[in-house]
Amino acid sequence: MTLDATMTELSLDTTIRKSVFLAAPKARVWDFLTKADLLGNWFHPADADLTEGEGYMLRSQKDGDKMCWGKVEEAKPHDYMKWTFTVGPMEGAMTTVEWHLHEAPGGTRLSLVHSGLPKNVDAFGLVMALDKGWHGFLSNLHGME
Amino acid sequence: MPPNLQPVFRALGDPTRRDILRMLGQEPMTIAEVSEHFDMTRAAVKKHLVMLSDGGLIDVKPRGREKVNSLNAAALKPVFDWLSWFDKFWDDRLDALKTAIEKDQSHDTGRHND
Repeated sequence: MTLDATMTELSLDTTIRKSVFLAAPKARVWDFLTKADLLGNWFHPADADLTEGEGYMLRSQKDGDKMCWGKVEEAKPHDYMKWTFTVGPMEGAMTTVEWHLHEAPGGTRLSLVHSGLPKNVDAFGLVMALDKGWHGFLSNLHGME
Repeated sequence: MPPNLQPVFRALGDPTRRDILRMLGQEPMTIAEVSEHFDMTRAAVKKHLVMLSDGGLIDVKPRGREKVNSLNAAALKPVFDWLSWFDKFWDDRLDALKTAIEKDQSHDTGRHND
């Protein structure tokens, strides 16, 4: 996809929606989303179990570097959770991640909605663009496949 | 898109490395030349360059007995394309979750459900 095509697509909708069937009861899936050690089995280990109203920090298993963090804005056990969410290079720009858990035959359907991603490619790079010297790189990128 | 962008993100996560990258974007430099711009040991600079190289953000080419580092701007493109990046990011994470849960359930019940 060209960058221009990407930009057009992004101006329409920047929400990511994913859904996955998991062969485990909702309560167990919830544990995987909220328990510090279980998060480490599929994401990154958290500094502490995730709690409503509290910040969270997921760190690299390898060297403890900060990988993803934010705040647990809402947690309705086994049904719904809402995080603010960011990664290192976004330099503090927060997005929203929502988790929905639905009972399904033989397990749980887990849905993820990731919203609040900036509207276009330039805005995505805004933090870096504002940082001295990135403008040249950004304009170079426009010519790239 | 490279299969794993985590190294790129890690490489860009540090302000010193971004500074180094910007300098290399202007002109290719040896470790010694990069070191002149920073109040750091050459070993520390080298560590940063290795992380940049791991992220595919710089090319390292020999010039005589030295090695010259230059920016690989193409590796930056997906970083500015957050949507594609996160799309893949969540696919990978949810796959890993599915695997982790299947393992967990088969331990719990002593048999695999598939």
